Amino acid sequence: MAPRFILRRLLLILPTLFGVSIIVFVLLRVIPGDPIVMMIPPGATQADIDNLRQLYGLDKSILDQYLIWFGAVLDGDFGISISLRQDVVGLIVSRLPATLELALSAMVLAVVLGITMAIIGTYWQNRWPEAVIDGISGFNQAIPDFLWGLIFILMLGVLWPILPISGRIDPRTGMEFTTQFYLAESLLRGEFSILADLVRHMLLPMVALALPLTAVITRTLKASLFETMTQDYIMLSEIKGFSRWRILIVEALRNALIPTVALSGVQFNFLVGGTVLIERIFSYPGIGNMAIGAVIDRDLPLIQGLIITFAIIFIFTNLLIDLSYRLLNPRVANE
Amino acid sequence: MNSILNIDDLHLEVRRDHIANPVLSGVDLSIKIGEIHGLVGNSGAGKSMLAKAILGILPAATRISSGVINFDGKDITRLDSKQRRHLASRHIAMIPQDPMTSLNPVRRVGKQVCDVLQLHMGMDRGKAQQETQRLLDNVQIREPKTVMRMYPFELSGGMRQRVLIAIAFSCKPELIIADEPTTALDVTVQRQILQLIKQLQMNSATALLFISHDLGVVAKICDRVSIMQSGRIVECQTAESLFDEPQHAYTQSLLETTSKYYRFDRGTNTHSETPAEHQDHA
Ligand SMILES: Nc1ncnc2c1ncn2[C@@H]1O[C@H](COP(=O)(O)OP(=O)(O)OP(=O)(O)O)[C@@H](O)[C@H]1O
Ligand SMILES: [Mg+2]
Repeated sequence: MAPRFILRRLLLILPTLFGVSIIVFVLLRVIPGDPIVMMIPPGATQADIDNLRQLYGLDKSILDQYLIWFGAVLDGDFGISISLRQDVVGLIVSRLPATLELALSAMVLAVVLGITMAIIGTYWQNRWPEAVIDGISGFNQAIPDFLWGLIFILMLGVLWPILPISGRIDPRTGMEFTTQFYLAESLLRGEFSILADLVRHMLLPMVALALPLTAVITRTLKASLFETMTQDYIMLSEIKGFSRWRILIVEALRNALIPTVALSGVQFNFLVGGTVLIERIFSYPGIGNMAIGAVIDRDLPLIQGLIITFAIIFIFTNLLIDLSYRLLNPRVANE
Repeated sequence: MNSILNIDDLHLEVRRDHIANPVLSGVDLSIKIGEIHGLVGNSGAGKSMLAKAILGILPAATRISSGVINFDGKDITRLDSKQRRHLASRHIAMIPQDPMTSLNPVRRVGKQVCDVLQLHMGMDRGKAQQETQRLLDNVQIREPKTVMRMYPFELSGGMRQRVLIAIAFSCKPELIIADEPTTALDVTVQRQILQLIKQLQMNSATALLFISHDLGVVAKICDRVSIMQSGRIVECQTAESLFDEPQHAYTQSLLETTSKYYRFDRGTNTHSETPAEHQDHA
């Protein structure tokens, strides 16, 4: 079952990325904005400009540029960042783990919170807990992640400063990491004070990212649970004498999750996309933050590398969603 | 006292737009220990509502306005859902109408039988699995071990109904309510399922309330029959005398509509079914 399916999906990645790369490459070169102009010192001569343009290959036709770029990419070389003068692959590899840790934590938080709230709302249907949950998730749904970010900075960073609002780690901790996966590494090495510092830094951006997804999961899952709780097999479980909690968790939840995954799956992609602004707002050193800098500087090689990276993350996010759908649903799992 | 269930002057109403519509208006019914009791009446007479009242699964808009349902000497209308679970659910089981929607689609069939055994019979998992295998074997499911590992969508309607019947009988309840247990099945499977229910009931001490539209079917398997018309039991007789001398005009009209089929069947009665036709494995 699953391995075949995963293999098929992995094979699809290559043509997808190929298409993405062409579109990005062409778009970046037809929209206004000249990377060379952004980097020249004042008073540079036309000859200097032409030299630079030649250095980065920007004097050639778009097709030629693409072929050169693509040839290098096949060798794992995404070029040199124009603004940072460093290897694009090296830059991305050093920043990607920060984003992955942030996005994954936010997803897990949203799933746990969303499922919990939906269950509580269903268990106490038509009583005050349901009303509270409906209120929270209705409110929550109206506020986008970056606005949460700004609200948090204002409330918890400025008015009542209890949490750090920028960066990923307190530089004074002085821990030497061997990987860029700080969260995972400190956890595995049992450095719990470092872990706590990392979590404190990550908390606000993570919650800001998680809340919109939480709202969607809560609402879809709760509606789906309501629907499920009216099914014949649930009624029969009541007759058999199972407790309402057990019926909800053991009998109804998995059934209700199937349509929920299908309906809220796309929201996971929004969360990944949301890292760009959120990382910027919280000066969090991930690839989203880097992407905004790259766009401001018209750093074509870096933008290209980053977009391909985001495309890969999107593809894996969707693969994960499809996989969980299949795991939940025995009908497709066995095919 | 030789009856397991005694319903006395039961009134039940449904609220719709702030108006209470009576659904049951004074039902009296008693089911004897170990009998098969038929409940017949036309659509909307309130048969399913009566079943739901006994099972304690009335919809939110309904209310028992008066009357008692005495099960094993206790009035179960007065119990809240927790007390009910403790007192009644082990002792009153149900065979549902639609087997396609009555098993949990994401849980293995065997697990769904085991669950009940573990809940009510105090069995551990291993014991429950053994017992499940035996129970599935009892409802003439071949290769019960394989079926236990299947999901409901892998089974045909007839097979699913067998599983549900196994679940209903699993904890040796005193009463099973079967609300039109064969109407969702095709004709040949219907006959097998009826025969199976009858056979399992005879081998146990379980009383069965068998709800149906079909007097012909009821005549085949029931000991006594109650006729229901617009929320009331209008007649209660043994199956024999009901057909020979129906007392109530409504019963007579019901009989007239079924008599054509019924006369064919009558002489051959319960033992005439074709024994164990080929099984409908999905
Ligand atoms: N969920 C419900 N809410 C409100 N009214 C209902 C509900 N279910 C049934 N009723 C009403 O209760 C009455 C009795 O319905 P019931 O389902 O018990 O009939 P029945 O005898 O089982 O009919 P059938 O043979 O078609 O199954 C009907 O008038 C119906 O309109
Ligand atoms: Mg009915």
